[in-house]
Amino acid sequence: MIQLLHEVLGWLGYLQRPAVLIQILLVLAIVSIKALPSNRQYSKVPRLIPPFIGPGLLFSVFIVLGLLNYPNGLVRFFGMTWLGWGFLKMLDLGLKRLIPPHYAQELRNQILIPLFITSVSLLLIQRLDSLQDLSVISIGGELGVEITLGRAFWILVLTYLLVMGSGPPAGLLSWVLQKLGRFNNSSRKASELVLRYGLVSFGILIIGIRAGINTTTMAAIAAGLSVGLGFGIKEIFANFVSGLWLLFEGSIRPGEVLMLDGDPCEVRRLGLRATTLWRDRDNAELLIPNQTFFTEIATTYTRSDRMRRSEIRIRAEFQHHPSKILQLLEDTALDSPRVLKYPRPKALQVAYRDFAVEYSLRYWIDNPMNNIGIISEVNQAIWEAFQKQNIDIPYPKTQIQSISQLPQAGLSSQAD
Amino acid sequence: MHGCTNNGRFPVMLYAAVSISDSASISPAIRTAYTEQIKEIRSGFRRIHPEIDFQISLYPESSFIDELKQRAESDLGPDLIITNTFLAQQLFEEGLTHNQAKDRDNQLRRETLEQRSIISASPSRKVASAPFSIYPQLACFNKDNLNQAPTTITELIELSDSGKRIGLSTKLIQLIWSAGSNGALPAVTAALTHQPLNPQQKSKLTDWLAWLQQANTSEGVHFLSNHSELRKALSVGDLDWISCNSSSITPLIQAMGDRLGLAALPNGTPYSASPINRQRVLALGNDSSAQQRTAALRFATYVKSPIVQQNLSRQSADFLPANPYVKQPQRNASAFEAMSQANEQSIASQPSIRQFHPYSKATQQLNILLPNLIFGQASAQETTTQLLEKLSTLNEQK
Repeated sequence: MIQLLHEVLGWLGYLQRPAVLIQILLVLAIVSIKALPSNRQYSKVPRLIPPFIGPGLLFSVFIVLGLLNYPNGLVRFFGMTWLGWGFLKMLDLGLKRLIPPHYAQELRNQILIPLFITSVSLLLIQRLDSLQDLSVISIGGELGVEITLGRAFWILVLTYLLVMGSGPPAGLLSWVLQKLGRFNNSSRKASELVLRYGLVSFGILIIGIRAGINTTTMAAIAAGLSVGLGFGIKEIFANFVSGLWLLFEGSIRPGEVLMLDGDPCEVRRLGLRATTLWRDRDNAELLIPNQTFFTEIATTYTRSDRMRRSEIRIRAEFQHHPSKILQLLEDTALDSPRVLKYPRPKALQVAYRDFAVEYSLRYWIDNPMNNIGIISEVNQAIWEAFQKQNIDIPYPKTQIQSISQLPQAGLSSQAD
Repeated sequence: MHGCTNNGRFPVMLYAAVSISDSASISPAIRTAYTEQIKEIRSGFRRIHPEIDFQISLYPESSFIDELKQRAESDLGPDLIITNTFLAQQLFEEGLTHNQAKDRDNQLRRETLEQRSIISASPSRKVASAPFSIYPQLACFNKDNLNQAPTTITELIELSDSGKRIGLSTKLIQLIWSAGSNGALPAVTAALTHQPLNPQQKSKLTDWLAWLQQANTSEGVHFLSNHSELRKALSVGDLDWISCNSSSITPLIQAMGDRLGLAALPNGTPYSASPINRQRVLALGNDSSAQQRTAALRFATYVKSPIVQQNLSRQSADFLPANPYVKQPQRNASAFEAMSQANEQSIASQPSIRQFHPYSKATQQLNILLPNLIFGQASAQETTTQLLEKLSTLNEQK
């Protein structure tokens, strides 16, 4: 590690070369100018132009230095890098048109940007030093294997690519399995995650073996790690194990609807540590630690099927015959397009209240996430049906009476 | 501010690029070996110039030119380049190194021009590099099985017929010595440098190729694909005699101890063997600041000084010091003598050897044809014709 630090610090010596120093200062000056906040944010300039203003300025400096017969290679390198970044932005704009925005964002943040930064860093280091030479610098010996910088780099890159790149093959495999096994989308998503974890675990094992770590050592580490996990990061590990358990058990799967604090939420993603739920009410994404589903009661509407029975309570005047109201409520529910015909809606007379008779209308819907919207639709339909049939919905009435004179008889008898 | 200076002098960082033979791929062991070797020189040099420090980068020979080109394109080229003569010449032709003849007060320049035996100055008296050490090609043998190394190629074949196991490489650079022994060196170098061959030269070329093919028919001669395989076979006792490079002496001594014998490669009658002795040379980069250039010259002058060269050859038996004024060390005397004889063979083969370039396309063509010839897939006559045709095509492409 000290050797590596010595190498990296040694690169500062290039600043002793006036040509290098001047070029770096020029690059920094242009980057600073470009970074200054401007009131005119290129509002009238086409969107594709701004990413290329910085590289354009650098290439102008490159040409000027060349005309002056002064070294300009470093300016060109940074200019090319900046240009590459500009193209990456353009690619991002194009991707957003071709694929859904969140996929484009994932692709950009998880693959393209790390790939670009790694490539540019390697190219820069290649200009400062010998990559092959640096790659054999020993950064320690672990697990019976001498870890060189190159080996550590490849282990990290391959692991990262494995974790990020295992999604599409796992998705394809689970799709094939779905076609063969004819199971539903939730099961497909669950199997995709299980397959992905399987691929990542298997890949990490292969990487470890290729890196020279023997399997006995790996088993010993796994045992040691298990004890360590028990004490150190047990919460994270508990969440991870809970996540895997949930997947295998199939009790909570992506696409399912859970009730959380009275709100229906859809399971979006079952992660390593936490489950992502989407709440329709405010379009919020909630990260719930997986362990929660083991320690607390979870209400789901999608365990056996996706149907939900919903209920509306309504009151009517005593004067209307209950059979008429019950029939009207059931007919109204049946006329609502998003209420299921079967099981049939059911109206019940549930109580006599102070000023009204209370009825309950129970009906089934096929998507629990639509409950609030359907309640609103059915309530409107009931209001209109009551209007047509001249049925009043009672409400408490308050009568205020002003008393100007106290009753005389009462007062005299008291006086007696 | 005082901490940044050494005796009032600002510290200077020197970037050195070192090429490593392709047969010895860069590994932690190679890096450590080089670091240790350079550490010795560095610590001695820093006693005189404590303000100068180094950063060493190792590169494989095959990608050395391309890597340095990339660095130079960004004005981040090394200050000091330690490589072989061929690569140094190529770097100079590509404009990647500094012409040392421009430095008026450069002691290194004067020494290089004076040392006529060491080829590093270009014909136009531009100094591309200064020799630093010489790694001769010689014969390594097992003294338990061979009392004496063969001095002629006839003795070599006789030895193999008598049951001794002889190891040769299929690579041209490690076989070219036998072209000299067969009197075919001028013909080979003329062919490889695209010069027309007269009938006599063509006949000599065929004779040499025929000798190689015939050698393989001898029971005891084994052709292996590269030098490291030969070295391994000798060290484990599978072979009794091999053509080897002096850089292998230390690992062979470690494996064989006193059983290792060293000698010059066998001559022919009346021709001398023509081994290619690899020289390590120092060249100066083009991107250095004034202080870095001065520091690089100081270092180059230091390592070429007789005392430092004497110390280095005392520590390692792998090379000959380039400075001709260095005395023969007491330690490693036998290795020094064998290497000196091999060096004389190489010098005697100049200027033909000078025209040979191990990385040229012509050399690559012959490297492709040689295994077919050696293992009987093509006759010597056919190989000569094929070689000349391919070289003629290459010449037309130029």
